[in-house]
Amino acid sequence: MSFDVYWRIPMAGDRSSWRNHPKRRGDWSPPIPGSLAPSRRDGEPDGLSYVEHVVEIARATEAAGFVGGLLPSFPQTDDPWIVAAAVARATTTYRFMVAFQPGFLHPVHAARMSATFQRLSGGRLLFNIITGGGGPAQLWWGDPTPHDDRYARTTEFLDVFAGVWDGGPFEHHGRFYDVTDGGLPEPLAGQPRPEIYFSGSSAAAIEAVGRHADYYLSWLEHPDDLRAKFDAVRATCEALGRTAKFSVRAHVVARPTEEEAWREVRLGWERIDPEAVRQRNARKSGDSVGAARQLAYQGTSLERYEDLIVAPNIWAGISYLGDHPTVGLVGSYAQVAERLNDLVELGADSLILSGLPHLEEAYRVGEEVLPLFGGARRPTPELATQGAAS
Amino acid sequence: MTVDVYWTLPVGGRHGGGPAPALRVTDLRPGRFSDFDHQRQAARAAEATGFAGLVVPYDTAGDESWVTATALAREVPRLRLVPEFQPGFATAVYSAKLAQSFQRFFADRLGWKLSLDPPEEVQRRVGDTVIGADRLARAAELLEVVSGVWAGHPYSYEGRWFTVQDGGFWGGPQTADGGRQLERRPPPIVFLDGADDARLDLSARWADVHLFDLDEPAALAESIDRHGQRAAAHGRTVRYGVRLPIWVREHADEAWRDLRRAWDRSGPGGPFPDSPPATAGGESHWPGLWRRFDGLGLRRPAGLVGTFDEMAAWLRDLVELGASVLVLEGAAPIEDAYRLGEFVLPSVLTSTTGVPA
Repeated sequence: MSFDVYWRIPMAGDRSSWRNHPKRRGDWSPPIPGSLAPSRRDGEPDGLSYVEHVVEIARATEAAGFVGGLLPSFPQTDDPWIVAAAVARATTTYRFMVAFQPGFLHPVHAARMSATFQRLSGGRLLFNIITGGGGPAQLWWGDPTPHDDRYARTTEFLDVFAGVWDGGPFEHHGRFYDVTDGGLPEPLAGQPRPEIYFSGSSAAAIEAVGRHADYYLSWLEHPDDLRAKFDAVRATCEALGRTAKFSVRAHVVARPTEEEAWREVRLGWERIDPEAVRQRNARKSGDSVGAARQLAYQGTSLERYEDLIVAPNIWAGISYLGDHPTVGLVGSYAQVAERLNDLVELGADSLILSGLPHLEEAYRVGEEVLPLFGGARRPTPELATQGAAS
Repeated sequence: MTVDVYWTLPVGGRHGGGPAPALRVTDLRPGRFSDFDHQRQAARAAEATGFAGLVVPYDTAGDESWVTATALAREVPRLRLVPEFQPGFATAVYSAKLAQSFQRFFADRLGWKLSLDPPEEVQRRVGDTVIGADRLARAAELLEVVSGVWAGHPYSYEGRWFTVQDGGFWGGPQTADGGRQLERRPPPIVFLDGADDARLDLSARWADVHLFDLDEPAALAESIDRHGQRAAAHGRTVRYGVRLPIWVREHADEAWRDLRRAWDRSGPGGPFPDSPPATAGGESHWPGLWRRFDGLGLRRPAGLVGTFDEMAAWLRDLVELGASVLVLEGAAPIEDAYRLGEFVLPSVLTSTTGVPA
């Protein structure tokens, strides 16, 4: 079977490195010398916008051998549906993993959007279904639904989405949605169904995964914790007669030598007040179980960046160097590739990687790390036998 | 006031009981091209021929309007894109979020048109059970929340369909590294339609452009006046538009010959309705009025058939009545865009409305 490696799209601008210089790419911080946005030359709009930078990242990602990218969604970011539709025709093979919360879109409309996207892109859409971190952000979005009800709604959303996808007639009278004689019309029906990457660490989430997810997606954690989590998901899926597949999302700081990689981290660490960052991160956490697990890796001491090393090449301080999940990989090209192989060993079927800056690092990781990574070069027997089968 | 002429994108659905407008991709190799390639050319034709924008209709039997409009936006850097949608497709905040990114990426070229009157059975198929007067109430809530979150953080709202707590763009939550979207963009231009009191009331409060169907000049003038009084009560000025299908050729006999041919080939059957029907009060002001465009799969029944010069004169009449926006639709979106752009629009775009700017 194929092994898909994705690269993230930064949806709220980008930094030039891990060293905590002010954000110069995109209009998320006040303009300073060297700012590449907000797309002005001599004070006047120059006709460019942040999406043009995203196009360049997507093209680099494509050229460097990734299958596509994750487009995350947060209140302060741009919207992934708009980005994906805007970038689709500027790429050829790039697959768009659009993150969205089922509560924000009606499932039949989401199916129409998806089928239209499949038609114009040649079937390059997939989903990262988020059920919401709760807390103030959830109310910012206008969604007051409590945690476990959100998972019930996600499940119903995916039922309706699947029900209308291949035509109809589809009937559904549920708690959240009510469809009579539904089904996508002839020009839209029958497109490839978007794969579903499903995130969520709570029991309610893992239950919902079993029914609809193609991949269970987790942020990077300590290998022992990931193994335990995957085991729980696998057991739930098997009880439902399904085979679970897994994906891991991680930032990587990869350099020719380990020393150079940690030097990047140290230079970034020296530009921040770790305690202030810790408090800011804690305020945002909401009711997300996954976010709480990430924060738990941070011990009491923030004296040195080394205090956040939880296992060889696994560092729980990434969120101190930017707006990212907490746990990432730091090491030489060979070490990072080894750690990625470890993830395959414990069950990963797919990876979503990223690094700063996303444009240049897509080339670095694609050229230097992926060739050393065994998972990506697994034999693909179904390809070899395809001729005989058909 | 300048005149803005919009073109209508074919989205491939069947509607009004008629056939789908022909999507003329003739390369038969599977997977080589999709309808989007044709839509893209229609959009680029409109851009090349002097149109101000492109309406992407809400049609549950065809392509989805937000994705289509957004995918076109990079391809046509000057056109305003106007996706039409029904207000229940997403939460109000999410609708605004889509619009916000669109404005940021594409130089504020978004308009949006709310679809208030799709048939009930069509809406039940897509899971929308809101009917009757509630549709207008929901649309009003949507527009109010969009305007609230657009004004900035903090904004809270508790309605029947939409809710927000401490929401709002520009000044809202920061990224963990302290960033936030800094540059305020204008909200999308709001297009509404309808002729009854309830729709005029909604529109007087919220619309930037109000669209009417083609009608006799006196009736149109009266509608515009009724709307104008309501808008003035809110202290607002609204632009008016007329939307209509057109069928235009160099000579009248060519126009009617080709229209009859289209009817025979892809119409709903039955004899060609060739005589311009008299209106209730007698002869129509529009000698080229034809009321069966829906039978050819276009979106409004009443439109105009005529020569280049006739069409230009009629469109100038509409502008003179106060319609500074014209939303046109043709059965052949590429060919008709060029016919209009080369032979009809030049004199229309330089005309002026009868009402002061």
